[in-house]
Amino acid sequence: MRDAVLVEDLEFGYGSRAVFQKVSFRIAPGESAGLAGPNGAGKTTLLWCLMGLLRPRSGRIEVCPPFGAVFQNPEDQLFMPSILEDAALPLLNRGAARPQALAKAREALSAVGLEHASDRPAHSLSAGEHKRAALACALALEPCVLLLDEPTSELDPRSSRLLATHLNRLPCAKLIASHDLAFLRSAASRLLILDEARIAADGPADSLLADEDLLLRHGLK
Amino acid sequence: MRLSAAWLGILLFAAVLALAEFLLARRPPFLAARMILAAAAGILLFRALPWPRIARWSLNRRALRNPALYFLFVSHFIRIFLEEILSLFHAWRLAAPRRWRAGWWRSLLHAAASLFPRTLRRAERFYAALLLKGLAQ
Repeated sequence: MRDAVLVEDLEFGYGSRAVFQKVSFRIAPGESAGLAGPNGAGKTTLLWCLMGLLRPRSGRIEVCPPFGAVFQNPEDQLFMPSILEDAALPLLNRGAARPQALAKAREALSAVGLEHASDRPAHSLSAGEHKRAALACALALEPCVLLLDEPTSELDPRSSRLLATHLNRLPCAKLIASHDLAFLRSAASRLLILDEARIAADGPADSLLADEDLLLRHGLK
Repeated sequence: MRLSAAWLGILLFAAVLALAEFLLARRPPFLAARMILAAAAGILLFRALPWPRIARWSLNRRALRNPALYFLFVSHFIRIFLEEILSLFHAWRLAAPRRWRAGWWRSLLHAAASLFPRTLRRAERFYAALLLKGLAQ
């Protein structure tokens, strides 16, 4: 079976500073992987490389299309007069007919519990609703892979739990960059720890998150 | 107060642009003038007209879709710019409450200078979002 995400010997840096070197991993279709690491480890940079927004120095990246992405600050992903239009926009842009695009957008908004707010503009939503609206925009595409950057930042515990529940229902592969270990425990079956420009650990989320020494060593505790 | 703070930021931003244009390109500050005009026209337009309703109406019409999208991007960028100016202005007022005392002008200058990287970062995120939605190249 083809991988949902394939990264081989990826290298990226800003000037002379290497952000990561020889990073390799694969994510299988439907697999949910967490990406943890201390501040500045390069989690966001890695996601931006996977999204094709940054060009790595070398290495190979394959991401199964279409993919959806939610930024750490998703307010800049939402700019249409309503979040329904926001969710429908990528579909319309790919040539879908307007009624079908709007129907899929409504379905995606309802999957994240935002059907009641579909006619509201993004700037009238709370931070948690922003995250869910951006997630709905990604889901409307029926993605093969979801790339999420700090999905629980600015979320209260209840909203985080709700988000984990939504994510666990999705059949697509997921790569979730987060500092929130409790959230990763509930939303990811596998964990990658990025530190000192490399993948420092890769294994089942439960066992890695139970290893206090490992978490302390990599600034996660 | 909010609007005057926003205008202060826009004028500072335009002044730096004008200076850069004059020093680097050796020409009158057309870019800065265009920026002030676009910001003024945009703010007046978005305040005076029922913009969200017009945008929705236009997005449903094939011929008007692209111009409507263009104005949506402009309005979003103006919102980003004003948000950054206002949050910066509030932070600066909290950090430098004693008007005209030592450091007041210097802190204002640093605050205004930091507007550039902040706005560029937000603009970069917005552009990345457009790329992901297939609206930019």
